[in-house]
Amino acid sequence: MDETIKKDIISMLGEAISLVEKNDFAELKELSNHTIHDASIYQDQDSIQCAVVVYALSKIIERTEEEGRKINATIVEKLRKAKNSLENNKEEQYRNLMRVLLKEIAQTDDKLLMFIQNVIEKANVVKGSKIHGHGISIAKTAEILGINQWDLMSFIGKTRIPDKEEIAGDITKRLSFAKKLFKVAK
Amino acid sequence: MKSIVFDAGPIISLATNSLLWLLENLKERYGGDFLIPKEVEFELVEKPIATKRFKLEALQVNREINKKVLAVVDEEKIQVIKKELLMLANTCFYAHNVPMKLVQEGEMAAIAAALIYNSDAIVIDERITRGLIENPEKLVEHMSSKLHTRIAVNKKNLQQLKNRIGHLKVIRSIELAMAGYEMGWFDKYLTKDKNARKILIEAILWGIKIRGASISQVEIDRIVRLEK
Repeated sequence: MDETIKKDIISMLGEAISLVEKNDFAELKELSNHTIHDASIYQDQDSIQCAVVVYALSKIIERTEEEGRKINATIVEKLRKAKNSLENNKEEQYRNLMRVLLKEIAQTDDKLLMFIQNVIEKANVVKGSKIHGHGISIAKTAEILGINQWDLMSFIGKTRIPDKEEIAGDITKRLSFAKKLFKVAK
Repeated sequence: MKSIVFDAGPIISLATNSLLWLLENLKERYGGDFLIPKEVEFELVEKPIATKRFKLEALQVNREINKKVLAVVDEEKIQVIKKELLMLANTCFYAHNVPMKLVQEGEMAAIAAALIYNSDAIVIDERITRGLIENPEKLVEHMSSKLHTRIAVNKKNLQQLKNRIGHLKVIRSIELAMAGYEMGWFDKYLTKDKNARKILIEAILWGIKIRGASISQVEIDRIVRLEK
């Protein structure tokens, strides 16, 4: 694992632990964007997975709060162990713990009766939209995250990403060219 | 035979807006072939057919392929050029000395097909691939601002890429829909409201935007002013 990525993930896990203990799902959601720069540049699974886990946790906490429940204490324990593993350069142990954590989140999700799109899938799509917003194409983003373009486009369309800086093209020229191609009468 | 190549995005935009019928009409009007490389076919059919959410849309796209409205192209030449373009595109820009992999096989296969068939246009909705073709320098500015880091440019690779693909003419699903609108194909949806045309144009454009086509609100407002 690149040292920059490791440092960023350790920092993010430290903050995540504190926010999970406080049940602060809003800050947790914001925190999940902190490895998006790394994910966009390095396109490594570790940055992406960390962002997905933290985002998924924010959604689980939000829902369990609404139901007057608390998040499972073992999740915090696993986050701590994952952080410690990385601090001690035990990368494989870290990755195993993150996989177990994702499984546990998915199981929590089942109990909340998500049907079409479980919270992990949703987390991948949401983080994917952020990566695309940083300059990676939709298809490449979908490939990195293991999701399909349909889901990603469906989500991006509802964000303001396309409104922030049009990168190329003159609308009138494009329209005029299309009309010529299809012989649209003036 | 003249041709237009499609990336996956515009077909997805049309499918999710129940506008796939536009393709057959436009193809007849155009008088040439509508092509998709096999990588795009995979994104449009095989991948979503394995899901629940877009299974029906995948079947609808598959029908357009079976009807030969969309022709799948799969030649060795496409693979060769696709790999060259992929290498170039993904080694033009660097952040922290890491090459930024901006695009993937499907997008480059579509561009490769457009080059090989000398297509009149390539239909691409998503803005990063369009940016690579039309204004890669703006793409650098965008990435630099979003990543809060300096983006180094491999000028040789960028120039090679521009030489190879900079001449391609790009249109989007929005322009396909507007061509259809101009030909009266959407008139069946007009209401009796005095602003019926404005309502119809807005409905078409917002529908396509909300389901993922990269068009801004500013562009929509401009098109509405131009078209109504």
